[in-house]
Amino acid sequence: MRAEAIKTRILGKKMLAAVMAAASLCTMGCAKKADDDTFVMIDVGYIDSEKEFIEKYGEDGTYVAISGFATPEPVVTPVPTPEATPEPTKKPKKTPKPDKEEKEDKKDKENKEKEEKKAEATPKPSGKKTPYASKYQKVSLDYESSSDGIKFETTTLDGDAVSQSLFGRNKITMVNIWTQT
Amino acid sequence: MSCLQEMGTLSDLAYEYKGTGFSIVGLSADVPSGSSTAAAAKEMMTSSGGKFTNLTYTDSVVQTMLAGVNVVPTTKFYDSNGRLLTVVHGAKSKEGWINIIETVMNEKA
Repeated sequence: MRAEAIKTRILGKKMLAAVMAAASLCTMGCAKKADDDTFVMIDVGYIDSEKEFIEKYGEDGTYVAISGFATPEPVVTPVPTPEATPEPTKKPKKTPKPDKEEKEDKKDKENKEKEEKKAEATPKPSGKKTPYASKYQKVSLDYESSSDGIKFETTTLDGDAVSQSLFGRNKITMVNIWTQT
Repeated sequence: MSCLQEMGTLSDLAYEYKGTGFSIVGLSADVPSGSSTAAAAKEMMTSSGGKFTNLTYTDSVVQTMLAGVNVVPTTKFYDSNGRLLTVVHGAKSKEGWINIIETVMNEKA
């Protein structure tokens, strides 16, 4: 393929800028053409005429004349604007958990209350044996077959209120009924 | 032996059985709750040696603990749920009460 030489004049000191502009243009439009045609290497230098070009590159080259002046624009690499980092959402302050000791105290208190309630309902276990357990004579007693506990309300001789809960304090309660006469 | 005569004996037993799961309570069958005679009954009780808790009567007491009581003293034994276990009529000596109490405690406690 014969190169088509185009005569041109390239000004000495403006050559660099011109070549840079050409290179920039080629990246946009000449690259595809290079697929079908001969790829041309451009040696940056001062070439004043076609004759000088042919002497340097031979007739198989393509002498592209670029006229005019181009001021290469500085390549500005866009710097991605950092996205505004959202402020970390303030986590709601957790209510300070009660200390372990406080928890334990609370549990102990609850347990104590439960035990007290239970103690009211359940007769206290005998702390000691009855004083005459080993020296008494067994007697024959007729036991009642009642199934329900009695319920009552009254007062003591001192005026204190008393109810059936009186029986819950012991396993057995003996009620001695008497009169003044 | 009258009611008041055995008060000292019952007081001694109440003290001796303290902490064993057994207790003694008195019920004055002729002193209604809230009456002015309670003070006199207490004075009589104390002078007789009775130092344990004594109750007055109300309607609910008449219908329950005093039900079926025809003679005094009458003694009733209850379990921890207020269920009547047995009834004993008449006054007893200390030994007599010990035999009854120990029997009940051994068989029902």
